[in-house]
Amino acid sequence: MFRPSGSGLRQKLVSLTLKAALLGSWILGIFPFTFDSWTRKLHRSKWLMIYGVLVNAGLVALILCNDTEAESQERMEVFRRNPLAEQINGVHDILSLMMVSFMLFRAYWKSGDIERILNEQMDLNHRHFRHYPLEEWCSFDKFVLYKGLSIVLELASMLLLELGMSPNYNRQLFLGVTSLCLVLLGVLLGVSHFHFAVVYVYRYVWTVNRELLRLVNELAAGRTVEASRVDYLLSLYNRLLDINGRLVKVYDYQMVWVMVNFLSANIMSIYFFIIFVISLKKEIDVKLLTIIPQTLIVNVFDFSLSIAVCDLAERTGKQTSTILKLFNDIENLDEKVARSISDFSLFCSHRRLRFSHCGLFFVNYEMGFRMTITSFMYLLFLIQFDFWNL
Amino acid sequence: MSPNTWVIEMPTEKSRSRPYPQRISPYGVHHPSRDAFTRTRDPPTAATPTKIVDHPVFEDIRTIMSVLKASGLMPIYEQVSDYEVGPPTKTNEFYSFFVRGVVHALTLFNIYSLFTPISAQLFYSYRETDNVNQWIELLLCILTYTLTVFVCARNTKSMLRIMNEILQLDEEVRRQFGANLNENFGFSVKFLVGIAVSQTYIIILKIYAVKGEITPTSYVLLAFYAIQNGLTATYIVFASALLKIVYIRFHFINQLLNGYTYGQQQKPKQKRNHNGHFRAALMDNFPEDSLFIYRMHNKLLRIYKGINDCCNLILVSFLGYSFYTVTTNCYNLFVQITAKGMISPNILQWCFAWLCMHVSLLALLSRSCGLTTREANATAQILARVYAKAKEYQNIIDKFLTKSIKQEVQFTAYGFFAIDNSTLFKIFSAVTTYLVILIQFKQLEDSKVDDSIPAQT
Repeated sequence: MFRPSGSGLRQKLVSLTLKAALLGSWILGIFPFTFDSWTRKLHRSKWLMIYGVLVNAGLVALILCNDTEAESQERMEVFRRNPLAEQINGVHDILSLMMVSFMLFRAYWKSGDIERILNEQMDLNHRHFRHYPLEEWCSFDKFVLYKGLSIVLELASMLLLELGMSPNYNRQLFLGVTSLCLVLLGVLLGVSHFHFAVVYVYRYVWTVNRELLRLVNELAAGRTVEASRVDYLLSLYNRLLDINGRLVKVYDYQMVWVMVNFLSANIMSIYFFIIFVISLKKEIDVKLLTIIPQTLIVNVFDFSLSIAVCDLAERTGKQTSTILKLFNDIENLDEKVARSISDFSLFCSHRRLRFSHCGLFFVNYEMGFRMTITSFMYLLFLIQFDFWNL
Repeated sequence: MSPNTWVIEMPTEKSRSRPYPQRISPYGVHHPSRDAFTRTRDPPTAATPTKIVDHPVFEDIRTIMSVLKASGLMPIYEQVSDYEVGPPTKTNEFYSFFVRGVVHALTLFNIYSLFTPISAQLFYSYRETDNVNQWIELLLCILTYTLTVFVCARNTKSMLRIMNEILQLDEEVRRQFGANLNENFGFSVKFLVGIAVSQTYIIILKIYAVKGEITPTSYVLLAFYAIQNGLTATYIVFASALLKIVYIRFHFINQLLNGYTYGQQQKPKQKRNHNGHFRAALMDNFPEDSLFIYRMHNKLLRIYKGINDCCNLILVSFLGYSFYTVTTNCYNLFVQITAKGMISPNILQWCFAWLCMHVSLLALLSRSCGLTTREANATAQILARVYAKAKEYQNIIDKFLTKSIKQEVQFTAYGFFAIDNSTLFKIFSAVTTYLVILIQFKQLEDSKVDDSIPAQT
């Protein structure tokens, strides 16, 4: 499945990213499956799960033992001025810790479902989609590469933040930072599993769309088309939507938690920055000016990526309906084909490729926009609180 | 071939049963004209299309097009025939490049002067927050315009493709129905004049307000600022005009379908329109007409989506900029009105000019988007009314209706939100919310000042 689809540099990079993500997940113990290459199936492994629990528990314990965060001088100044900031920071820390444990717990708890979903996806790929070449237009490669890039950037920015802000370097700090980064990597990889699965679903839906387009063009050129081809595409589409629904169900709590965490981290970093620069009237040095904005930018990039991929898949699903409309003006369409097309379009109008997390919201650009607006509002309210404290 | 740019080869004309049928137009207009976009003021002399390329296409929006062409936002295309435009010649392309280069150079200069004390004299206001506000406004304006130029430069080809598709569609309509789809685009010229006037007025106000001698740098900054604002606004008007063009075509096919609805068919047959044709069409033509209408609808949806893709980013940044400007100007107005005894007529006029311009642009944009979207979605509703008319054609109607269930068309700003009439309402409710927050901040600030003064004395 991870074999490069072409010989170009981009395809090689994509395959490398996917393999690196897989290897990283195995090492950190968040992907408790073994691959049987003979049957082409993943199998759940209890030993890997135990290993994962031990590794992650050890990492969290290391972080707790080597907590050097409080020593930072700038942080203390901000907290002294604004006790609210300290409280928020404490809540956020607890939330993050809970997020990590919850993600792991959920990943192990639902590992049976994940195993079945991944096996079915591999099966689909091997049996049906292997032979369709990926074309230039498809954004599959782009989104895989972006995700890989965002993971690397997140790690780098975390390192920069922790090492850049701390006053003294010692062994304790390095231990703490390393374990923190590893846990962060675990979380990011856990999120990236969902991302990659969605990208694969997108790719398959895109392929179905292209096949449908090919059928329209053949019909328009006056050639005949078998109704069974449409039915075949419909059955594939049905399976894809089914996989997608199950996937969202498995990952919804984690994704909501991660999104909330990222958003609150963004709001907090801007808030601290504003308190530090405007309220405390501190001189901004180059160090501060590079570290905080870069974390913000990287966070926003990662957040927007997780929304963009869902939006992309949703839009591609919508395009299926649009392409089906093209069958409208074909003259003398065979009755069987017409019926199959009608079936397909009815199916599309009643079941759509959408990502609803816990039934709370649909993930697309519209929701992303609203979330951004809301976080801006919260930022304003927080600043007003700070103003009050003057 | 890809799902992103869906291409469909159309069946050849030979395969149609009647290659060039002249059907009754729903408008009752029966003037085959040389050009779809020309308003026929003089009675047409020849019924057959002539191949003379003396009439420019898109003549109705010629003024706005020429402004955009001159500023490098639109390609200076070549007219191949009455129904086709070609890519610009090398010289014209070079001209567009050159203009864009000058624009970018000026933008860089402006940003430089914004970040250095050169432009300090322009920010003279009495309070520091106002200066920061104006400074941000300028920066946003620059950003919006730069983005517009970039997006336009990137979308040159797709813009030409859209224009060609519109022209092709017109050709087909003209051949089938002899209808001349035109409408009064006078609003675009009015808006152009309005934008120019308000920008000049704003500059004059600003020049009067600045104390002391104005340096040439400030003049350049101001002039370029006005041009940027004006051109961004012009582009919005152009997008609205394009949408109006699409609206007219959607309206045409809807009218055509309306002729087949139950109500229209029941009307007394003696009632003729001024051209002597029945408005209600004969049901026998329905199968062939429906195919034509479905194809038109697909093409129009494609054009509609193409326009949306071209304007996406520009619309988002314009709406953001516009929102910011409206909010800050409302706030300034509020501050001016509530301030005791120091109302400055200059600032009042300045705020009013800005508010007028942006509100009218927002209204125009949301109205044209709303109209077009409504018309695009109306086709299915009208077809549903034809359904009851004849049993033998229900299959044909079903074909369209099954594919339209829950498939509402929307004009979106990069998927962030749909632009239609409700957008205007949403923007104003957001403006109100932010206004309240800003006023709260101001009161907090004032109370702090009041507190600190007795403490010092």
